[in-house]
Amino acid sequence: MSVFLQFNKLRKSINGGQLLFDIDEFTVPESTCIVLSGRNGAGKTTLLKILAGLDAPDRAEILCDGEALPWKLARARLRQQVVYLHQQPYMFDKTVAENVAYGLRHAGLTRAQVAERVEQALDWARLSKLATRNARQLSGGEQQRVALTRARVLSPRLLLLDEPLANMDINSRGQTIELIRRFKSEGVSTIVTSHEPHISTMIGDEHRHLCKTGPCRYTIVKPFLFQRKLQQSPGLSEPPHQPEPRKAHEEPRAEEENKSRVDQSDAIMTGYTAKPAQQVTAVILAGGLARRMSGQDKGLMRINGRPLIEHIIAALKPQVSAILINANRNLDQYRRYDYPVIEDIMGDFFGPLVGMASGMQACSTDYLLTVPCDSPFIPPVLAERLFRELVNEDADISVAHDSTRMQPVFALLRKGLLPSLMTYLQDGGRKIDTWYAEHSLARTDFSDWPDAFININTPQEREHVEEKMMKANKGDRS
Amino acid sequence: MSQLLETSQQALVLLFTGDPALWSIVSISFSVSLRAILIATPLAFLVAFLLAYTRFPGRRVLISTFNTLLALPAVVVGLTIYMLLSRNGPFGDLKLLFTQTGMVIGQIVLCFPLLVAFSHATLQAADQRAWETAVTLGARPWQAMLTLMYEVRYGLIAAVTAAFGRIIAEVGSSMMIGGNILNYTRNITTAIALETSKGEFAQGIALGIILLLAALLLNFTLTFMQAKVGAVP
Repeated sequence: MSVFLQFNKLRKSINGGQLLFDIDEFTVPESTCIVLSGRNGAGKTTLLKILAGLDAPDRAEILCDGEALPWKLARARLRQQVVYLHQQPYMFDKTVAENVAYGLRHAGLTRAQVAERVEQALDWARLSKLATRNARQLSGGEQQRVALTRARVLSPRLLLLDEPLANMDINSRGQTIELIRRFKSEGVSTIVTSHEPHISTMIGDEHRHLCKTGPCRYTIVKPFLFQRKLQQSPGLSEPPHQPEPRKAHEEPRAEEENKSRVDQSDAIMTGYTAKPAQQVTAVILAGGLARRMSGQDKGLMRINGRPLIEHIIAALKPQVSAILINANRNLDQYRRYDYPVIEDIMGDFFGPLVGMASGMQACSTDYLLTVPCDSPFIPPVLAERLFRELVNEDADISVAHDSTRMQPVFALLRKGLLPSLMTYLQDGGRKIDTWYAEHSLARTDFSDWPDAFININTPQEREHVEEKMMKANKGDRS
Repeated sequence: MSQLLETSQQALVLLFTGDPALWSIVSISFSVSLRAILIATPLAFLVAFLLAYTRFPGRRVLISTFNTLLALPAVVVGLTIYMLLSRNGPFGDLKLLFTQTGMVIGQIVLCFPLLVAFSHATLQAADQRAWETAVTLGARPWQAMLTLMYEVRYGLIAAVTAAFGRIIAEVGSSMMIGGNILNYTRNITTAIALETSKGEFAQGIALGIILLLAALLLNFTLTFMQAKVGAVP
């Protein structure tokens, strides 16, 4: 796919001179819908306005169709080929038809040509009935459609939509999403900002998150979860498609070397202390049915003479301030470990998300670490590394990742996500990955811990694990 | 008291019988002030737009200057322009002293700061999105500027109305620059001053009534426009 626009070393500071973002590279391919997420004040709107030629960057190297252009020339081209839509679109104090005609009247067309195109466009957006109404008297949803139509008649190469779905009722949302989809089918690239990343699963080909990776420094990262390939293959059983390795991920080693420095700046930047142990509760998800183990409770399965959960508790204990056990059967046996045992707060073995929700409800810390009950080789750096990535990325959820796929049950979540999770569950959602997709996600690399995600699903796997553990213990002794 | 009633009666007779001398004076007043407004307005709008939508050194100083000049006394303008246009002045060769053109110049100077200050305030308060929307839809800067002015047209009309109200009623600069020449530079305000000093109150009162009616009309327009401005979201 050819690239329409590319901004390199895009830097923008706000009036007081404070750096807003510094983006190494931002590309806009043709015929692609990019969903751009980021917290309030991350600079999403400013970035869009720069892309539209409405705001000037401090500096940037701009390539337009591969041609390097200085800002003034690029700005003229962007203003011709890119259309920006405000969160609440501005309607000229004229009729709907005149609003739609606005751009065309400046494009050197005859009156008849303009009228014809306007008529077609109004028909396209099913606005013909409103053509002679003053655009200011329309409802928010109708204004949004007028704005989209007004942009479409100009056949832009790129359309920038700032929070197009905010403050909209469900009907208007549906219509707006429908129009955005049609843009895509017409070969127009779109960038949509949103607080609700789940819309990326509806319209986006690509999701990018504008986030903090250093003091006052925001860059674009591409959370792998939202790549289209993954959406087409439901669940996480297949390795996710990873188009480009993310830069932030190539740096952890350097980060570890400068750990104290990084931790310090994190603390200044975010107010979090660097050591996660006091703020994290772990929940061991032992509430499953273990169908493939003929219903045997996996957490209580003996590995080298000790129940599996004891191995896990031993690994977690030094890492967190509290441990919870989420279980639905054999509660008495789990209670022997002197940790609170919590049952699923809803449903009938609805899966790990309910276990997570139960953990969030029961925990008294701001962060919840989730681990499955059937992976005995939990890395001693699990909590710390997930936590650091969460803070670095300013994300809601930090998920472990081995080099090929995400491990969604090895995750660190903010407790504040509970209402969102409850809503999702009550709406009938059960899939971890779709719920994760609604939030900003930090991917934490554990490829240097190859055994971390080994789990036991079959009796053969259990034997394999026992063998491995024996070997490791022998290695320790010798 | 009886004298006031009597002269008022005469004034009404003058008004309704269409006294040619009276209407010649009225037409001079309006012709001079309308010309001044027509010349000053486009330029003032442009200046106001530049002050509101561009950033250049000295912008703030300029804004304060225009705001200060709102209080510029008409006689000071009259005096200054008299000196500039008089035979010995730098522009004496133009022979504009005691002409209608001279009066127009004086009134332009008087209304310009008011036009700039009011329309700047209006444009400054305009919705930022209007400009951005126009530009992103491919309008060139000057086209976007006209669009923006259209969007805030009621505020701008209010500025023009207020400016016109000021110059139609000013006496100082018209008197000094125009010289109060009958059928040429004698306008409503200078005529009232003259007739009063002669003791001919009837014509003075008749002219005063016209001025008052004009002021009333302008104020109604202004109030109407302000209501419109408030109504536009």
